[in-house]
Amino acid sequence: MADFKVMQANGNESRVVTICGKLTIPHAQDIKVALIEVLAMTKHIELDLKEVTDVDLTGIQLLCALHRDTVNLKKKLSVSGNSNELFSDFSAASGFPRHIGCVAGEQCIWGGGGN
Amino acid sequence: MIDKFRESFKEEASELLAELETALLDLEASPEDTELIGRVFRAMHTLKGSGAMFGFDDIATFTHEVETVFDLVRNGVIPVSRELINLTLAARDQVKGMLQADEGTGTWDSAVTTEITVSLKKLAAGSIQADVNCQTGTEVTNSQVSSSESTLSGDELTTAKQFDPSSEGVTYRIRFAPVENIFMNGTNPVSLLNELRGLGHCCVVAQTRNIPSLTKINPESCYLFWDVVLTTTCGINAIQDVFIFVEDDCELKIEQMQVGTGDISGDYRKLGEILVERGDLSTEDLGKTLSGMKRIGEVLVESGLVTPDRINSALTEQNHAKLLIKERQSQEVAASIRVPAEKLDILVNLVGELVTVQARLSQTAALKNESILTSIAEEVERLTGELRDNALNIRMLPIGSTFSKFQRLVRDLSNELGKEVEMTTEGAETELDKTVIERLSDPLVHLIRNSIDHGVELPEIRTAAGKDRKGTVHLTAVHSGDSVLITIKDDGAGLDKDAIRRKAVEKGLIQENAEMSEKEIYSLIFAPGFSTAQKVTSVSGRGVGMDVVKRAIDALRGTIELSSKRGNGTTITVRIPLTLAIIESLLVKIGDDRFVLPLSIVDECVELSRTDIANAHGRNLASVRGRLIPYIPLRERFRVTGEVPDIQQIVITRIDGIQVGFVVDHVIGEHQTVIKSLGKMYKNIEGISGATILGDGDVALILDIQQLARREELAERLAGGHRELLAA
Repeated sequence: MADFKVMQANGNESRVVTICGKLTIPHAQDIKVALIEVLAMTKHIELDLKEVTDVDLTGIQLLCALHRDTVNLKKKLSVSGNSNELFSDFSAASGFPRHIGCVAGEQCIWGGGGN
Repeated sequence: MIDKFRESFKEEASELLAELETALLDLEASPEDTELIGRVFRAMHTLKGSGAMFGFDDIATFTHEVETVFDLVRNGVIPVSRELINLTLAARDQVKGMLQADEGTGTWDSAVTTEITVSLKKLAAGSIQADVNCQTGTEVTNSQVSSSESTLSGDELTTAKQFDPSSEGVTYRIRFAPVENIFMNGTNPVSLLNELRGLGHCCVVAQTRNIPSLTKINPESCYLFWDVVLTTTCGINAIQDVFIFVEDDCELKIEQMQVGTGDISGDYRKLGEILVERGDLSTEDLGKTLSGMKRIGEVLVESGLVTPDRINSALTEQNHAKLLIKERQSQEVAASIRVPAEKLDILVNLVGELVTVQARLSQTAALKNESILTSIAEEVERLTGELRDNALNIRMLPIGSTFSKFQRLVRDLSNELGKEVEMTTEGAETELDKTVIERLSDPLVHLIRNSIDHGVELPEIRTAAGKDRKGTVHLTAVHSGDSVLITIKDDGAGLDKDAIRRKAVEKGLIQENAEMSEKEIYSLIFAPGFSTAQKVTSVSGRGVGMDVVKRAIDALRGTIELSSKRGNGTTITVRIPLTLAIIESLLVKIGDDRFVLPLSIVDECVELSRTDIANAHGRNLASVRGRLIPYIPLRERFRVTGEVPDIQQIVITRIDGIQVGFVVDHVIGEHQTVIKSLGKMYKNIEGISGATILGDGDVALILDIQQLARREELAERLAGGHRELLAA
């Protein structure tokens, strides 16, 4: 899996998680496992996506699931590096930007939203 | 497994090819019809897609070329021309050849494929550049249409129609909900969304509410569905085309939205209404939320703006619309299933057996005279009757599919002969047993060929005769009792009575001085020996004798009649029974044996006394209401021994418009006859076409009335010849 990697930098309350490479279906299972692990470990996940080189719908779905889980567990997720062309183009093409976040009261990680 | 899929592709492909041919011929008649262009495009598109999926790469590549051209036609870049239709028809035939080659029943020449492709490209050249590369709607960059997506989306984007926001498009609400395993079969929903964007102004919202928590998610499944609002001038078919390959793998809902002209920003629907209309919020929930407030109707009534009866009326309208929509949806659900024809044949055979057993039961019940048994027998009789009608009905097909095949025949043949002929049809929805339709096709092809070849004149001759340059062949099918009447009527030159007569004399079919009515002369063309060819095939045709056609019709227990007026055209009428499995018949008795005659050709039954026979002075002629009708004494023909009853019965039948009587001892009555073949050994016995099992288990033979009459005629002619020889 040379073209996909999850790196974590620790801190007690928050943890920086950097995803590198392809956020696509061949790695979807690994991404899922990694995200579950991270979610169990910390209260605040700082997700860095700037090293991501490709993304597809399975990747986006996993990030949405993570976002929702953090909200339900009263944890926090902040995402950075998702405002580059790759993410903005793909989320626009697949119809992700929205007026209201999918979890009540939360801002959508794909732009727009909030109350 | 793969073979099974390939088989099912071939089946689908032959249906698509038939559809393609019909659509092309219709398109030739109305080149402006965008719906027809859409039909041609979709047929090609599906052939290409399924072909590629099941390993028919040659077909996929070839149809891709044709589809590309038709996409340009669809977008108005290339006009529909005769050349285009010719090429596409040729392409259709080539694909058919490719399929047949795969089955080992034909060959195909790759040079022809190349030739057609080159010609099509030539036709399209020069007009393509005007309409390419128009990205529209929201900003989709080229990088999104990545190479990993299917070539389809790339192609379609390059030829996508430029959407002009100022032009009036129709707005559709589309919900696209793919199945969870959509990624597994290689489909990328985003590429479909991009195709939609290519059609017009498009807003896409991904719905994420079904995405489960991380622990429950199967990362390779798709939990998303999409709501799309698309304003386009391309029509609903173009939208459906986008989803053509995933239609079985998704739920797709396309609705036209009632957006007023132009102004969407003004008073569009309320949020609640939109949610309700989309099915995202139930009316009840909306009602509950709004329960603090009074209902709009009540408010309006209280304020005196609208009277209660008007509110009621509006509510009724609402309910009506809802019911209508529900009804339509349930109709859509009532789909059809595909069953192999053999299974149906087995069913019909079994029903046939059941009918026989039921007849025995009824007979036994009648003999025993027990009320309980009788009532059971009656119930079984009723149910068997319904079952029989239903089983036969399942095998009924509209004759229209055969008609469309003839359209092509007429087109090609008239081109070949330099004639202008138009075929019109009527009654394409008329239903006939599947087997009958199949066996009827070839004889009809020959009759139509004859009409065009020998009937309809060349345009110049027609003009000189004061007729329209274009001749017509009118084909109709209509139900008539338990048969279907098919007529082929042309407005050509009509039959030449004298020429037929001359030829018949020349061939020794009639005496030179024979007295014959017009009808009798015309029916000579059906006589064996009038023409020399032996076999009906769908490819040959010209030169094939009408007697072969007649034999084919006879084999279907049908009749053929002909009328003609010199200079005005010829009408051929073919009467065919609806089904070959079970017939209504007349049961008769000769000595101890029972026989069956098809009821459809029986006119009446009259008595024949010894006095009548004596009065005829040895000739087999009976006088019925002043008319002399020839009869055939079946007792003699079948050499039935025993005493002849004092009063016999003549069953008068009508064969090719001529009345012929058959003398029997006794007419028993009408009978439901389940036809059984006689097997190989007795297949060729003259005068008998099959057998049936009677209620008491006895076998009755089914008389081949036509053949019996023909044999009698021949014997008569031979006897006539003898007499002449003796006289000489």
